[in-house]
Amino acid sequence: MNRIFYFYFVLFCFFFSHYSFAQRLIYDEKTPVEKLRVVLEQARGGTVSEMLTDLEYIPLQGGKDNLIDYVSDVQILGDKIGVLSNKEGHFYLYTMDGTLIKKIDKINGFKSPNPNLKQLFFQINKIDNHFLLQHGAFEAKVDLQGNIVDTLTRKFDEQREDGQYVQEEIALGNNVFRYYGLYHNEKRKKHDVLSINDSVLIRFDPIDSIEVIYAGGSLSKVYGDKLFLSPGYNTKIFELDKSGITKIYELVLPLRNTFDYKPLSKVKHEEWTKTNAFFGERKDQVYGLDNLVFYQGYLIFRSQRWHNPVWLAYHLESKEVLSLNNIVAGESNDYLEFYDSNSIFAEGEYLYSMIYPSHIAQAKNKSQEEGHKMRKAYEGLAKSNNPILVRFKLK
Amino acid sequence: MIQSRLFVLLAFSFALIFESYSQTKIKGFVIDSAHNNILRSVSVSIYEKGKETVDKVGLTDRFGKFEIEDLNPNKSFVLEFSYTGYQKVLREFVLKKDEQKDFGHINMSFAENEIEVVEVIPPVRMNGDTLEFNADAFQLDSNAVVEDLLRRLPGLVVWGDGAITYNGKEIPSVLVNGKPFFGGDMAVAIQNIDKNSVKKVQVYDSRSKEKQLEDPDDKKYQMNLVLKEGKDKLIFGSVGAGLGTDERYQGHLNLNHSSPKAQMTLAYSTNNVNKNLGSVDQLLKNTSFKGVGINADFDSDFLRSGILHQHVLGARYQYDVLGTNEVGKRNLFSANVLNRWNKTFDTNESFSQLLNTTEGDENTRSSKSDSEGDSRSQTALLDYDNSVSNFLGRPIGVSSSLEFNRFKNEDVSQSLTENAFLDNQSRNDITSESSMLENNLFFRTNIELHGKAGRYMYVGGQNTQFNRWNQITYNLNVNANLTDGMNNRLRRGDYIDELNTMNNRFYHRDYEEDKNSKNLNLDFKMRDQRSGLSIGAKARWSGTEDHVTVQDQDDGVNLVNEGLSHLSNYKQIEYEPYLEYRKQLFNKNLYGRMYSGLSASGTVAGRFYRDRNTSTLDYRNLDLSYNSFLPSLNLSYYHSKQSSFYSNWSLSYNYNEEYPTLGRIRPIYDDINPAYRYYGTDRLLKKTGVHNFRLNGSYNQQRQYGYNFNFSVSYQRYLDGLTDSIVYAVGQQQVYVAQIAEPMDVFYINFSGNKPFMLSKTQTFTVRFNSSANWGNKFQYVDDQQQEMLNNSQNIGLNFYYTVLDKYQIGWTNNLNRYERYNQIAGNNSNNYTSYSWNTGMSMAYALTKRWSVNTNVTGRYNKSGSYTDEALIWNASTTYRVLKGNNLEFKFAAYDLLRQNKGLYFTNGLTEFTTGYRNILTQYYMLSLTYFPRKFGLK
Repeated sequence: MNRIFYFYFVLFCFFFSHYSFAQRLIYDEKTPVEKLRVVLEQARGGTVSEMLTDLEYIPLQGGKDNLIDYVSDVQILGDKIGVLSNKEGHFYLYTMDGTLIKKIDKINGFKSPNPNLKQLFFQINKIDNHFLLQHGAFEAKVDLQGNIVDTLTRKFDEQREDGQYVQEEIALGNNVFRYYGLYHNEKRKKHDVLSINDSVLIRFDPIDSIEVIYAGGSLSKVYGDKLFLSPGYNTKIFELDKSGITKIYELVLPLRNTFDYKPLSKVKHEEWTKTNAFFGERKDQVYGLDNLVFYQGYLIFRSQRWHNPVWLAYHLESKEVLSLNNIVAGESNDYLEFYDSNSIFAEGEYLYSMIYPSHIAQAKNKSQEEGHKMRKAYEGLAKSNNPILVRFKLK
Repeated sequence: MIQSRLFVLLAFSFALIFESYSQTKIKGFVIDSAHNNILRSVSVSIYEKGKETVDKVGLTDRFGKFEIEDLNPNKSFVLEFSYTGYQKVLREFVLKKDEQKDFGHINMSFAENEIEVVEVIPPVRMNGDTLEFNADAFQLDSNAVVEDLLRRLPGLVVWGDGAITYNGKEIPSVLVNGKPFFGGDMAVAIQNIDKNSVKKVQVYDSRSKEKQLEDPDDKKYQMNLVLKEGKDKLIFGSVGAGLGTDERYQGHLNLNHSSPKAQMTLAYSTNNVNKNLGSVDQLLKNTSFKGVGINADFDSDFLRSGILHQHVLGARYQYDVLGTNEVGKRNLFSANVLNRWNKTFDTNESFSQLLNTTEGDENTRSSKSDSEGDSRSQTALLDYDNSVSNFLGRPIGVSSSLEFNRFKNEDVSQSLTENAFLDNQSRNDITSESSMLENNLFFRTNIELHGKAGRYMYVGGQNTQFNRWNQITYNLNVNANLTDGMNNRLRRGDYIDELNTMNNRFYHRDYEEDKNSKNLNLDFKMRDQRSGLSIGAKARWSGTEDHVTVQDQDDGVNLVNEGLSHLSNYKQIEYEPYLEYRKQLFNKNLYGRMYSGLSASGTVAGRFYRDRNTSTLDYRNLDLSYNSFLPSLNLSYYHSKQSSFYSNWSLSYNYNEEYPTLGRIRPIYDDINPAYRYYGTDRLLKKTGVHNFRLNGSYNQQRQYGYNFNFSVSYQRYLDGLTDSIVYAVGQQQVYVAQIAEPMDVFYINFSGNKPFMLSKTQTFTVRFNSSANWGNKFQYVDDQQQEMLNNSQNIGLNFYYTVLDKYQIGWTNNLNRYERYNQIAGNNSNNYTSYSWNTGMSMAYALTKRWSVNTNVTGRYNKSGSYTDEALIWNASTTYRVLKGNNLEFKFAAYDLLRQNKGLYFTNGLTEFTTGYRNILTQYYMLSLTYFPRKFGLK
């Protein structure tokens, strides 16, 4: 009897230790899975001149009253760049050479329903060749000259009777994807993660619930007829089209980089000290994926590690994995970084990122150390004291 | 004269230090060519071929590049690259003189089978965000200590003034296994710990991860020494004795034992060469194994008046309750005992001239005194410091100390004062014996109860589990003491008045005082982090009982002196509730560029003060009561520009009120010296209002070897201030208290800065500068005539420190001071005067060999006041030689005041008189001493 019990106990432990590496999701088990086995240090890199082309730095026009503290969202539409600042949520519209066309810092008659929210806008989307600036249910439609052509307040559908909050919502043709996130609370009656129209595609088991919101997960934008989702503490990316989930890309890492989410379930929400210590002890482990971008056959995503993310680009056809972290600046671009760790996005033939004036100072120091003359145009990038948009292509 | 001698010494010193350095260099890139990746933070080590210990080390930068300089030419070296997960790569090379070799791309291959890899720690590596040096990889002298190791680590510099920097930024403290080492002074750790007992030296940025990411250049470094397993059980110390000419002697002992959780120290010091030891820490710092620097603060004090004979015995115990060796977590208990016995011999001769003398008048006073004092004090101190525990679901910080102090003093003195004033021709010959015994008990504690969100944390927003009450913080500060004292004095006086023999008296007066007092100070504060509002209250209560019996002996009969004997009970109570509001007015954060913020705080407080004295002396029965309204305002501004500078400024105003004390209003008059009487006042005095404005600023350059400066300006205006009114009556100098309706002002400005220079890989130079100036007016009365004295003084200090690695240290300090005082009101300006002083000192330490070193220091001082000048040049020199295998035994020969210029001359400019005099001080002596350093790291 005891032996049998021991056998089942070992089996039980093995089962749970095996499955305890990621939050369990419930979806159609027949969905094809493609595993990406990546040794992070070995993901291919090189120098900027070897790996990138058409690298261009575009300083966003600044000045005393038009300084952007930090870029919280950015969209390229035609030959215009729309940027949201972080602290105030102001909208700045630039030409492709960085000239400021217009700044929207207030909307007559609009007041946030939540008095604690100081930002004017939180998100930029594109609709009908216009920018769509969003603050919760409130939307402002802005044309390419920066004129507000329309404002409306949507019917707010973020909280339903079942207690589920819509974290993100995106339309693909006539189909609407809703991402609800994996966070459980007492009011939440249902445990949907993703739905298309009225059909639930992914659910989660509340027994796996984690209170610490560090891996929020995200839906990508729509690329042609598909989009991607990476939910919660997982290394899975779901490829979606109008029929639902078409494929799963699963990032498999060496054990030293693999995150065991199970102990995290014991850490209480907002126990910041414990949470920081928990992640600090696991700084080599990837606990989630986000910032999903589809570009020229590459699925680009950010592997989240504690204050040290790794950007990977997986080519869906050639199966090659690049690491943007392993692409280093060199003499060809005066040792100037081509991205900051925060955001990369794609538009048309280009990838875009943001760097900040401190990067110019670092490049200047390195050029001096190497006895290399930094070109004047690069030295002058920090003059406007504003973020610098970087545009480039992968070779 | 002094200047020219110093210049010659300085020129000679710099001539000694000419050295030449090789200009060799190697460089290259490290890549993983299979994946076309550059490799960052790869350990690069250079070994001399056939040797196991490393010669030079480095790390690849974020571009995969390495560069190492100053390698000896014509030697065979092995270049080793190691990186976690990769196979080690070796290259051999030889450099010619001044050759620079480029290794191009060095390829490293990934180690496929990690399980088989046995980790060998490279000489230097990045372990996460912590830079770690593997101490064993560096070959040094078998007697090397941590400081010798630090001098060889790339990026680390040990400066002439004792500071340590990494990449040009100061490391303010050094921990050992995550906790303070024997008191926490950096020198005790790095100049005692055997280099071979250290496993690794860790250097890390102590800022939060968010700050590190946003501003990677603005690093705040800390250092931790991790000892090898077993080596954290250790013993070290110093035992020494010396004999000198003129019966001079000195001796000391300190023995220290450390185990993983406990540290114990036993210390003893004795001398008659004016070395005044105040604490165990001071002895440990100055008797370290490698303490041959130029900043000793436990040396003969040639400026001290009198000769001090001292014995000090102390012990300390520290216990780490937590025992995890984690940096930043404290749960420490410590106990200290210190016994001091001081015997002092003072002689003094002075001559004073009244400043308002009419020409031809003889208005002088001369004085001679001898005294012998014998004091003993015993102190026991218990400390507890906790920064890790929780209470009622909240983090709590507790810092407490309990101190017992017993002080006993016996003093015998004799003085003769002769007054040769116009209205006062008298002499007073006094012999005095006194004994005093005092017991004190002090209790201090500070308790900080944090919000439930965490230590020093606040969670804002609506959807948080922490409501307002959960995030209120509480702070309680308690300060209490009990004192019980006995004071006995016997004074015999023979007073002769040449103008009126009726005043002639002979006194034999016996004083007995029994005094005990109790004090309690409380400060409680509650802070609502959400609104920025704090409420609190300070309360102070003190009570003193004083029983004084004075008897005069007249013809062998003891009579109680009713004017001096009394029984008094003094009580004082003060309550000060306050309301404080703090608000961030402005906050600008441009990511990757700058941060600035302006905050304001204001406090309104009410103070209710009562004191009551009940006494058997009628005129001392007094009730005083004052109420005050005390507002204050503060503006703070912070500005930092990334990779460039950070700067803090604050502007503050506060209003305070000072209350006259019983002793100032109704003093007790002792007629043993009839030539002088302090009267106080017969009126109740008003409180004195003090308006205080202050501006502080600091600027720190954020780059390697950047400069920094601090600046402060303050202005105080006193309303209804108190001053002295001096009357030269017939046969007596009388002093009264006067309250001045006109405002009296003090303006003060201070500026200080410092700039280090790295002259070469082995030479450092630091400049420290400080200056201050103040102006003020003060009213006073002399013979009922009002004077408004305008005072101003200026002070400039300039210090230089120069160090050549392992060889030579030189420090040059300077302090220049000017003081001026003059009467603004037309009339008597006889007490106007200006004085100047310049003190300069030069210290040098030179290591002739690893065992033999020479130290010398010269101190020059120049004083000028009116037509009086005083100059002296004190030159001390010593040489030390060490023997035995572990350099444990040291012989030292020292010569002090070689030029015999320490004479004890002084002068002081008082409000109404100018005094010159001589005191007995320490003069030339020679001493031979022997010191043994017991050391064992890794006890069984």
